[in-house]
Amino acid sequence: MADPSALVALALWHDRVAEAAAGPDHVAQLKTLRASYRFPIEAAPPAAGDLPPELLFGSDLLVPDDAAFLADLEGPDGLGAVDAHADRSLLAWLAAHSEVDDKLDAELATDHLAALRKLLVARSAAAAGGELAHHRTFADVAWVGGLRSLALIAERGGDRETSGLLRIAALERSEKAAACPVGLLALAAWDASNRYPMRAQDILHAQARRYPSLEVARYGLDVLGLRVGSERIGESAGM
Amino acid sequence: MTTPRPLPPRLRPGRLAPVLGFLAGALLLAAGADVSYYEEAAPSTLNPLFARTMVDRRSQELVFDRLFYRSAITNELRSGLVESWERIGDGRSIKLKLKEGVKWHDGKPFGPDDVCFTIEAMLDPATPSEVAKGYREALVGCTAQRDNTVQIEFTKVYHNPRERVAFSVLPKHAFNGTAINPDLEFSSRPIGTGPMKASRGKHELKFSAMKNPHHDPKIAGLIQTEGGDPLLQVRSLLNGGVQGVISVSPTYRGDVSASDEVALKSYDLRSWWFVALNTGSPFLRDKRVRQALDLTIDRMRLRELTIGVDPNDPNPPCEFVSGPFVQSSPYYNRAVKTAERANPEKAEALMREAGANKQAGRWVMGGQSITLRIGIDSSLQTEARDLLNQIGNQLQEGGFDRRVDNVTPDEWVHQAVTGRLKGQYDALIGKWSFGVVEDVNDMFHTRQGTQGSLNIFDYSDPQVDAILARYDAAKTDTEAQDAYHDLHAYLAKELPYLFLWKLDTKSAWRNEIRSNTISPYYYFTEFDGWRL
Repeated sequence: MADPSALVALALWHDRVAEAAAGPDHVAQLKTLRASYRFPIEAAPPAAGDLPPELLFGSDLLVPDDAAFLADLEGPDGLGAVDAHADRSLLAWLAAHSEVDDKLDAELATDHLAALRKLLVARSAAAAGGELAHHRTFADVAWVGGLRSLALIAERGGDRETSGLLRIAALERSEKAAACPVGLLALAAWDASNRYPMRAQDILHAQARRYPSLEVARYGLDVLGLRVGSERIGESAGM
Repeated sequence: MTTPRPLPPRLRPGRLAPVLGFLAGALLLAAGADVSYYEEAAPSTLNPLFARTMVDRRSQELVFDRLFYRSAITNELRSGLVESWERIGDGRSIKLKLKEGVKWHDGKPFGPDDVCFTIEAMLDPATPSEVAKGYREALVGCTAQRDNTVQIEFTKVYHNPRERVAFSVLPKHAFNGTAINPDLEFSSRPIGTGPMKASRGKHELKFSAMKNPHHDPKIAGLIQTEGGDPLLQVRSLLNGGVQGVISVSPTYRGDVSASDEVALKSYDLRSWWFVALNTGSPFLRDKRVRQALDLTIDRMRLRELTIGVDPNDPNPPCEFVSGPFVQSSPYYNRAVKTAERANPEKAEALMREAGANKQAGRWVMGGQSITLRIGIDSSLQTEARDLLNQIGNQLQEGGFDRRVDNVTPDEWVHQAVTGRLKGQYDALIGKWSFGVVEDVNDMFHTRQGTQGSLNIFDYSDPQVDAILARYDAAKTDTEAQDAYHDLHAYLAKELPYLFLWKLDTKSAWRNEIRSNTISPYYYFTEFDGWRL
């Protein structure tokens, strides 16, 4: 079970099944949707335009153009996609308005998303004639999804510190319906790439209860955990 | 070609502006004030060489700098005190160039002599420091040089030598020699180079910001108070009476989540809870009696009553464990199943096998009715409400009489874990917390020399000692893992501890506190970035 290719094979299988279910007319949109979570060796897909609302439901994306924006961000345009999409993609607008000294600022971005959450709750309540329980749930999903997407933008700009701050901010708000397994596992993978196994092991352990096939990732993380643990001094047990 | 579709009017960027303006206005209200927070208990010492509790470590992190530390975000190795470093000689030494202009909290200059003094103090056998133990294995000595550099020699070539010098640096001028005693005044009036200077008040610990070339804390003052009733802690937080709570009881996490003024924050710490059994006491010497106790405790019910966990929650904050590791750890032996429900029939059979009989519903052994003296680290009851009485009640229902007592945090640190309460208790309820290092040797090894220093009831079993020796001698990760898997399986049968559960630690801070990144294990490592 130590072979990571088992995980890759599983992921590719899921991709193929999703594409088969979508049908040939929508494969390009699917590829756009998952542009930010492709494998490093895979080329960025060309953006396939606005996504239909049903693909946005419960996702990290806020408006139809967000997927095309993130796909372009992963492509040759890189951070140039922010300005190019700022008038149609809310994520791009948030990124453009969260810059301080030409750099995405984690705190400003977090404030913008907190404000967006409030706005979403208020607008939903206004439309429904009063606040309902699910209004906050969907606002939370948007909030956490926005944080994760902005983390990817920071990462694309080579700013791992800001990316990490936003990823952790997303984790802290990942309660109940906002706890997206893909987002959580992406954080676990990011932590592992930083040689920080503890949070990754906890996330994987919790997710593997729901998705047992994730057990294939445990061995690699365990090895990392053992190595890192044996290198540290002075972190003895506390009461 | 499709025409670009504009954003829906309700989500057009300009709509966010008034909300953002409101947020900024609200934040200005709190600027300039001291920040108060509740800790689990008072620190037992502020000298980092003698840290025992997590409260000690968190408090010391504000006052002292570790020579190297890891970023809470990217895990990069960094230093506030070292400007540059290089390997020298045969690879067993490194040379560190220290930063210029750093001052101790009493105004004296920090320099190479301080780094070397700290190493010499740790290497001095007359310094009774558990923290120094790991460094003694890695370090040979240190030479201070004139050009603000130090040369540190290791016992062997390490591929990551900086990881081996991540200790808190002490001021040479505050001590008379390298033999450092935990009872010195320094333990309550420390002098560090960290972002905050500590001073003890009547009922609290006060921290004041200290600017230095390597520190620029944005919060002028911190007031640490010992947390009491968990409900009062949360109410005080929600009302703005305090700005933070280090450990929020799981029972009240929902109230905190529901507030727009407060945020729950993750704190990466691995904690597992246990009932240590006194294997030297007359009744508990027999393994079957310990096993019967294990089967008498209904952990599912206990968790529901004390922590408020919904039995149907698929992802509870509190997960049962069957050995001395959390389930996500590589050392956890998954072949050893957890006991979630009581099994009174089996418990009764084991007791009878051990020679006990029931009289009027109470167990009697050797002509004496079994009365268990049970204690708990009282600070735990803020996380698990009434745990001591609930365990006592379950044992009572199973036919064991009990006498229950709270053990103060101070008694816990100085007497319980040092083995001095073995004449007074049959069982002690506690928890151990870990970072990425999960070394449990000191809890289960026979107490001798420097080993077994955290062995609560002086448990001693040659087979356990042999397994722990295998772990210590392991040359590969697999050997270390195999040793601890064996330890887990063995302890689950021998039961010097009844293993209960792991419990996530969650902090809560009011939203006025900004950029409050919490570091794994040490908590306040990134405190410079915190602001109002």
